[in-house]
Amino acid sequence: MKCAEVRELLGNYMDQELTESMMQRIEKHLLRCPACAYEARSIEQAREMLRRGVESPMVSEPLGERILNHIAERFPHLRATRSTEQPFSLPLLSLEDEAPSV
Amino acid sequence: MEHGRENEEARLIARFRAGDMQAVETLFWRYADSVLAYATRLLGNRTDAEEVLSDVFLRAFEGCMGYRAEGTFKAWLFRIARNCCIDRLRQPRLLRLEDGVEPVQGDDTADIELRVAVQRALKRLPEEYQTVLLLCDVEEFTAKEVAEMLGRSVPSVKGMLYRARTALRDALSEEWGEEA
Repeated sequence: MKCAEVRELLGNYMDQELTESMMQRIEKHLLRCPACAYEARSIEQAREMLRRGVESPMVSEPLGERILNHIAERFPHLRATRSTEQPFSLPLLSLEDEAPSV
Repeated sequence: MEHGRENEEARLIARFRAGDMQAVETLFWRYADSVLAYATRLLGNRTDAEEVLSDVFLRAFEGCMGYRAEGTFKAWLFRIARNCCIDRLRQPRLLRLEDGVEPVQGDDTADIELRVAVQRALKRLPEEYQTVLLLCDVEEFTAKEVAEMLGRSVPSVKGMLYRARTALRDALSEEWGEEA
């Protein structure tokens, strides 16, 4: 394969969206072509940095309550059956605790 | 996403239409954090994102009262969130603080540096690039779901995603002062 062909398919390769034979052809090219191998590695590294580096703020309970009250006011057909606790609130877990699967 | 989740959410939406507030709370708390995070990343600050969050859910539930497009509730919410964020970014501001970089909290210096670099690098990219990166690589929507959200073809989204990843790599290299 030529570098231009590989670059065109690199995104699909990284997302594993190609046939097995095409995946192998690209792997073979990457083993022999330092420039394309660098391209693939550096993009994957940037993607990993993005995943680790984005902020993940959480909605505070007072903010959530305010928004839910706003929704309840906006839709008068909603019955006043609100519980005062978040249905998915969890006790604080230590870092060692395994997160429950969702 | 699996059909089980879609079916369950369709039942929750039906319960909302029938007047069940608990269904609203369930849907809200299921996605509130991820919508707030997405809006914070797009808008560059949490205060605006918190204001947008309310609009997003109000618009989503208003939409649920009538016609709702095919797809998951999450994809529906994120499409609305993106539109709300774009509206917010277009609003004239009397005072804009340093554009786009939120104070970052944390204990680990390396983590803080990484988060600052990522935040700054993201803000340097065009809005569409930020959107596909956040939706595909952070929220893990499929290209097909993102294509539906953005009104684009799947190949167009995949092409844009590749260009966005390359642009992010270059921006991070510059932010980091060395190769990313």
